[in-house]
Amino acid sequence: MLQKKICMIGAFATGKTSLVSQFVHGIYSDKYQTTVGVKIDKKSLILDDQDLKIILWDIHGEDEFQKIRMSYLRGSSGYILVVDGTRRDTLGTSFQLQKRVEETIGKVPFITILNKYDLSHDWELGNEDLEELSAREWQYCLSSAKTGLGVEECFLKLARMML
Amino acid sequence: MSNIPNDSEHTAPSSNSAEDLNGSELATLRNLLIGAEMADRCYNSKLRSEDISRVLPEAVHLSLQENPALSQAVIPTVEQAIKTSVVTDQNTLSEALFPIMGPAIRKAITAAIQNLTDSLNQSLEHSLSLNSLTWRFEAWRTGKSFAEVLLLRTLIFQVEQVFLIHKSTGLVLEHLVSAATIAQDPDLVAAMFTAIQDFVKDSFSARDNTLGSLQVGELTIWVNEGPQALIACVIRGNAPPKLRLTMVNALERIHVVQAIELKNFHGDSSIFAASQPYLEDCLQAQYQPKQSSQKPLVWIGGALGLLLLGWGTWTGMSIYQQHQVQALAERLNQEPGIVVVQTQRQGSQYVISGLRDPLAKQPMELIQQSDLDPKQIKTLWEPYLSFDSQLILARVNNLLQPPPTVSLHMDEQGTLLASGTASQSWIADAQRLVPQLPNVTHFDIQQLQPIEKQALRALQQKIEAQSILFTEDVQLAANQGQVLQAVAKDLRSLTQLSQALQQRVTVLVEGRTDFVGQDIVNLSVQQARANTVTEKLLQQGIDKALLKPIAAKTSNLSSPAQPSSVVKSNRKVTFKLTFTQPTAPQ
Repeated sequence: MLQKKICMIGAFATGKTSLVSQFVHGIYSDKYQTTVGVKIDKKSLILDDQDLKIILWDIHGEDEFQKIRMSYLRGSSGYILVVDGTRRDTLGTSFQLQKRVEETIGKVPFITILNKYDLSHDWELGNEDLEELSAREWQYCLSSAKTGLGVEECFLKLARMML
Repeated sequence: MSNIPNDSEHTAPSSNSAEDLNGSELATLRNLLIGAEMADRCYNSKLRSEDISRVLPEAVHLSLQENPALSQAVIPTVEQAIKTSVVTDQNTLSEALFPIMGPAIRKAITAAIQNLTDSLNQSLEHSLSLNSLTWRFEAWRTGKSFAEVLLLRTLIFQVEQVFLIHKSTGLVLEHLVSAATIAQDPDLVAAMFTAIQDFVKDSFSARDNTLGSLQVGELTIWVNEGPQALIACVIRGNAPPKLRLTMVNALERIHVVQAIELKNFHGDSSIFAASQPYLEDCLQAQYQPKQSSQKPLVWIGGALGLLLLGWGTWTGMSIYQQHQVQALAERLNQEPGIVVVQTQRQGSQYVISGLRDPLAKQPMELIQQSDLDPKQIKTLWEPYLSFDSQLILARVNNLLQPPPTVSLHMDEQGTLLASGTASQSWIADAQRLVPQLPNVTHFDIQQLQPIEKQALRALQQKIEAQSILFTEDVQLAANQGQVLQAVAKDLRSLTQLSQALQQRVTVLVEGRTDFVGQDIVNLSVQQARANTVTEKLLQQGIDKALLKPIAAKTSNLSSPAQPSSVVKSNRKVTFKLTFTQPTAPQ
């Protein structure tokens, strides 16, 4: 069985913990609980006849007061940049984060999740943003941790990129 | 030219390489360049195989030293070869493995049995010792489980878990757990532990230093880092410093043995099973030395001995008690009027049941005379009538209530003998009642005298001794009135006694005279004197039917002269009583 470490990173309150909860346990809670430090979770799955154990490091969100500790990303086989689609500035945060991560651990597979897609009326990301992601050759997907929309697909997509 | 082979193996290159050279030129060129012998070696497969066989062992050895590619390359071939061997003939592989498998299995079984014995011994020791009772009390008092208290009191330290963690990824390479330890998910624990390590390094700018140990409640986590991996031991209790040395040694050995695997780790931890023996060295435990050299079996032996002693004592006591109860039952059986039918034990009591005559001796007296506790004996008696002579006699005494002057005796034939004196009425009652008693065949009263009869005889003697004196004629002599009164009184008693005895009595009042004078005269005087006394007695209230005045018969009425005192004393009246039985009514 292969083991892979995946880190969840992004601006604060983008839904990293909710995505992990939805992917690992299939549950969602409306109650917001900020992550302090890091939370670890595990998901075993079979991908293309290959047993895979994913160790998910859910790292606290980045904001102006608290920077993400890059040491947490050491040894990651991949990472997920989580963007809150209802807060455009979180996309900018993800650009900065990706640069720092790459400087720290080098080029490893990653995927960008544009989360909270269920709040379409508050959606702030436009076509130009998606075009920029494409221009950067970033893999991205739309998802909702609340409804479960696209969550598993996003994680499996990254898993395939890592294998 | 004759050395140039003509097979297809070397014709092909010739056709490809020289389009403008003919065959003979090419052969000439080849011969010039590599020589005939070399060409032969290149294109003759047999010779080539021989050459390779010479260098192959050294080539394999060199290849293994430099990189593992060859090992990995031959894995499928070796696996396939083993499978084919098994399918073809199982015996070949069995025979090859037999010398290894036998000792390995024996070793494994011995180790398992040793573990089982140790575990059993420890369990017995902890469940039977005095300490265990103290610890159970402590567990009850503190609300902890017995296992926790046991561990606290007996364990110096125990390494519960050993993690081999890949340093950069935080992924678990190998994880060992001691027996009876409940471990959390090692993947999560290892990752979180790595996160903590990272946090500590970042927070305290301690890049080159690592977190050496962690204290979590009763658990301590010791960490030793190597270049590629780290070992973390989860310890309960106080581990000795030498454990740290064991961890370092294990880590160094793993880095030596699996250096390449560690360096090239990409998430496949299965290859780190080889590091398990080194990690097992870290899975140590140390218990408190035994305070006593007594083995659990000694305890068991002691306990069994005590049990046997207790059982023996109890059995002995029971047998002794049973013997005493039997003896009591026999004594009761010997007692007249008691028949023991059954003796049985009911719980802590003995029940003696049987028949008992109400007049028999009280059983409690006999029970109290024995050594038995009266509370342990319960008696159940059914009443019955015993024909034992003693009890019959007792029953007779109860019924007849004989006066002290009567003694009763029972002989073996059932005859009741009465002797002594008793009133006529008591005798009559006894005669009426005795035949009603069971098992009395005859009532013998020949030796029993009625008191009234004796009194009658005494009264008869008294009356017959009395004399009423007369003068020469038919006048009472002086002072005879008092004598008459006394006689009258006695006669009244006589009447009563005779009536009680149902006897008819007649008092002959005999007139007497001196022998002076003519007989005819004397006879009339005798009669006259008898009549006088009778008259006087009648006046005293005596029944006329009782008295019969007669002239005393004398054979020597005209006897020769006698002294004057004798003559004078003959002038009198005497009494004589005659008894007759009443005539039975027709």
